[in-house]
Amino acid sequence: MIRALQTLRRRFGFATAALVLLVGLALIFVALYSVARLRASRVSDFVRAVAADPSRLDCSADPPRFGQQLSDGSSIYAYDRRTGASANRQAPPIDTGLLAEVQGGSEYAIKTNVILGYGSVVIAVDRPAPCDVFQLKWRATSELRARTTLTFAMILAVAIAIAVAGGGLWVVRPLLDRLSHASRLAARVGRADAVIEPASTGSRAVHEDELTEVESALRDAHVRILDDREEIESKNRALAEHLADVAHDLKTPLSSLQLELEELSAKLVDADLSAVAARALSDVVYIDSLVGNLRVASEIEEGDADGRVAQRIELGALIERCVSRVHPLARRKSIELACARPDEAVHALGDVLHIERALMNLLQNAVAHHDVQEGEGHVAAVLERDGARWELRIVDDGPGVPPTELPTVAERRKRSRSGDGEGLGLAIVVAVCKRERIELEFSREQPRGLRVTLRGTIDAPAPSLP
Amino acid sequence: MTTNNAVASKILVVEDDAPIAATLVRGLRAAGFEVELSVRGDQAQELPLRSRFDLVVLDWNLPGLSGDALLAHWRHRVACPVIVLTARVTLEDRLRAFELGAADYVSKPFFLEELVARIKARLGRRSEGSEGRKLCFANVVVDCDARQTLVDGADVHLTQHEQNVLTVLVERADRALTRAQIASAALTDGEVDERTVDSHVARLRRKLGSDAAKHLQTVWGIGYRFVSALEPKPSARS
Repeated sequence: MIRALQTLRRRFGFATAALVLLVGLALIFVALYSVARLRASRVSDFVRAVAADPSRLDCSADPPRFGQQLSDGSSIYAYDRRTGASANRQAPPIDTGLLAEVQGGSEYAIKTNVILGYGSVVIAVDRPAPCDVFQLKWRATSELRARTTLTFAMILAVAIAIAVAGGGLWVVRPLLDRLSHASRLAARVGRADAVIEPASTGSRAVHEDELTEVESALRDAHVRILDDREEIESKNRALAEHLADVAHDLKTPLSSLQLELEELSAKLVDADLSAVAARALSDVVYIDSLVGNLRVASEIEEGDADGRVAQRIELGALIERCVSRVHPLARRKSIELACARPDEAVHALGDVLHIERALMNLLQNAVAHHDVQEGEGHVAAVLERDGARWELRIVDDGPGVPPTELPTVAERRKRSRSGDGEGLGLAIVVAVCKRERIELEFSREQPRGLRVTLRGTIDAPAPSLP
Repeated sequence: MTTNNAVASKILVVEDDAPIAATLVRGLRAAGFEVELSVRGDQAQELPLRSRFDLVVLDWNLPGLSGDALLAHWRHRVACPVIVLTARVTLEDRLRAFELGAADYVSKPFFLEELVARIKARLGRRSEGSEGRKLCFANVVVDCDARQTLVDGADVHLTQHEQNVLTVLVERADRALTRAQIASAALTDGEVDERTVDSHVARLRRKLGSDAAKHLQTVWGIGYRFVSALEPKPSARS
């Protein structure tokens, strides 16, 4: 049996007993109140009846009148206080108990049946015998019964409602409190910043039921999730470090290869061999770019860079650096690659490694996809200030992108190295821009070429202290 | 521009990877530098203290003594700039290099051409300030202070705006400038139309003559650039 239900049942038992007691007390109170009210009401009825037609009870009249039947079914008759007899044959026998009370000196005596609605009152009057005592007897009318039943039912219903509400609250409240506690506990499970108190050793510990077990399970789950999370983060860190190591280990032989190919291509006079060397050089740059892109993709997808503090970047210096890195490659393709920047520094906040990677991708793409025509191609990067905003345009006079493909140009598989490869570069650009809140726009350059526009907010220098 | 390299700048290369070191030494010598090579950190430690070097090219990962230990050792002892070659990709490594006094860094893999450009830029920066505001190229002397331009020793009588445009360009030698940049720096408010810059440059080219005009290059998509040292255009290889 579920222990929480047993606890509830126990409480329910207490609540039921309390309910019965409360309802009983209510009924007793109602009964006493009704009797008192009824008595007062009947005595006043009696007085009103006598006052309405005193002649009907005038025993001194000729012939003497000893009583009458009233219209509501009740009757009033005169009796002799000493003998209790009435001269009227239709008079019902007087209630001896009530008569005895009157004979004992009471002004009146009354007997009522609250439930069934009948009763009688005997009252002594200051008249000569045999008319010195009157008895009013009334019967229960259907109206009276209905009214009485309704009153009792209403009082009972209200009493039961109050009792049920109070009792229910009393029974359920502790359970609700603990459910609420368990719910709050569940909401915090797995959150690294959540402080989850250990299981209570105080009063709460007495509830050794399913809810205690649920809370305990939630606490265990919290600890397990944090442990798992730490393990996953540790694995991610290890993976990132591994990727960094691989990147590092690759970069040294790539450096050697690139430098030697550069030296070799400068010495080659055979056009075919020169072309082979140029392609090999281009491939080395592509591999390095691919490694860099994979690393940034891993950081963004795993959220490794989320905790990194944004650095203050001088965009002018950064774009100059990127252009200088791509410049040798552009020169080998007879592409004039140039950049312009304002004289004053243009600062922005962001992840410098990611933004540098994005700019490198845009420049390398512009160079790599350029179909040099008429002897020379052009790629230009222009950084400008516009109030509190900066704008960087990278334009080329290459083949560009058809208008229909512009909206999807940054998706993977577009403008990739071989046309059907993974095309990670522009996807990284989009992801970095989104992360760094940089607006990114691709448009066609006239008469031919692609224009990539990046816009962001300038990080204004903090006011200097006097 | 008068960057006098009659005495070759002396460069210390500290690099342990033999193929890279060999290519670097050959390439830098071919670029006109005097080069000394060290393949271990501990061996390179005292070299800049004992001999005069104009610049050090330092690999980060070295046997004997690491690049960061060398930088820390040279800090406040060696005046010449240090360019760090690094295969490391983390921001922390870059920042640490700058904190320890590196003047610049070049990420591996790199083109020798890029490294040479950086070395020249660094050495050129060191010699700046000694030449005042008199700039020479081809057969032209631009005296920025006197606001006078001489071609073969004769004043070519540039207009105020032409002189301004030329000064703006030569003072920012080897940098591409947008027409808007030139207009805002060289022209008065009434003449800030970017197309006006084109006509000023065209007149400048005419007045300075064909040799000097080659230094005032049009940059596609941007505007103009004053080139301090002309290089022969390479032929397309691919």
